[in-house]
Amino acid sequence: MKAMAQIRIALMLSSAIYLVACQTVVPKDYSKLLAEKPRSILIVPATNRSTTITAPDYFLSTISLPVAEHGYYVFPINTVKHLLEDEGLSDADLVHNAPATKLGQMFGADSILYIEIKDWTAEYVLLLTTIKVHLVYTLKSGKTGDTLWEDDRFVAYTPQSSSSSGGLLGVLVSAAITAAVAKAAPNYIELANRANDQAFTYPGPGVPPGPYLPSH
Amino acid sequence: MQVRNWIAIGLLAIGVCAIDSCSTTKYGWGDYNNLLYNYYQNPNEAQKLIEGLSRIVIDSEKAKNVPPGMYAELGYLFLQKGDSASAIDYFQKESDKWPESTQLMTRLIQNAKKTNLPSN
Repeated sequence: MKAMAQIRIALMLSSAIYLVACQTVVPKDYSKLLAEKPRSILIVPATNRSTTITAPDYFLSTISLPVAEHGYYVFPINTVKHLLEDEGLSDADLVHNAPATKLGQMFGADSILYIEIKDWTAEYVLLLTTIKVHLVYTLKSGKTGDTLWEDDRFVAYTPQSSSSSGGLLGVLVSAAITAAVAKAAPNYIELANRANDQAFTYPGPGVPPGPYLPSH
Repeated sequence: MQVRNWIAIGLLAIGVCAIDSCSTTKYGWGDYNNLLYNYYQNPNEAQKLIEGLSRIVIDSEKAKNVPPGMYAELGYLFLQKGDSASAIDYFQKESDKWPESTQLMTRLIQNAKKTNLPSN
């Protein structure tokens, strides 16, 4: 009996350790970022690996605010997009493949933030729609081209039907309506906002606050 | 009694926060994100974006919390419209407020001056 209890405790302990181990994130190397202390961030148009062609432009409307609120000077995002187009860089992949130092010189930017949209889709399975947004953020030095910080964010959301009256048929119908609404106008923006917030949380996965935050 | 009053005041404050969405942002963004989103949905509605950003500039100037990039963004829209005088004004404001932008703003001002026809 005592042995059983001991085994049980051992199992509980090991599963607890397993859970802790799973949550441990490899600490990021902030040494280059802290050495350079960039004041400004140039956010260039996002590359798109999803099948949603509108994703990069819509994403662009979400990203200035969290980065600026984090204490950095953020270059005017829509102006930057047009200036790059004028330079023959209307394709985001071309911009991402150009040397970061070249962009740094062009705009006088301390650092450049690249975002790759890996996923931006709504999946419709069995009356449920799952909206998925997967973004990869890379901050590079405008002076050396070195990567200063990276983050990978995946967020997904399945809207639940709020109405539960009317028995099984009612539930199914309202689930179908919820799914149809979500499918017609998936709220990617809310997910992108959440991904941005998570990516910039510091202490956490994010970059340390910039010069315009008092905590800097 | 006093404790109850404080609780009531606290609850009221929370209520006001909820109604006002209790803006905790450093800068006065207004509805910037929505304006930009709508503009990317309907790129030929640049005028709406100009009006929206002008409103944000006025409000945030009053509150002394103009977001970085806002003057420049508005300036560039004026430049696209052919109003280089307004564009130059806003580029200069951006440059004065944010030294990080000076290199780019100087370039934009030079370009805007080139497109500034004598008839303007």
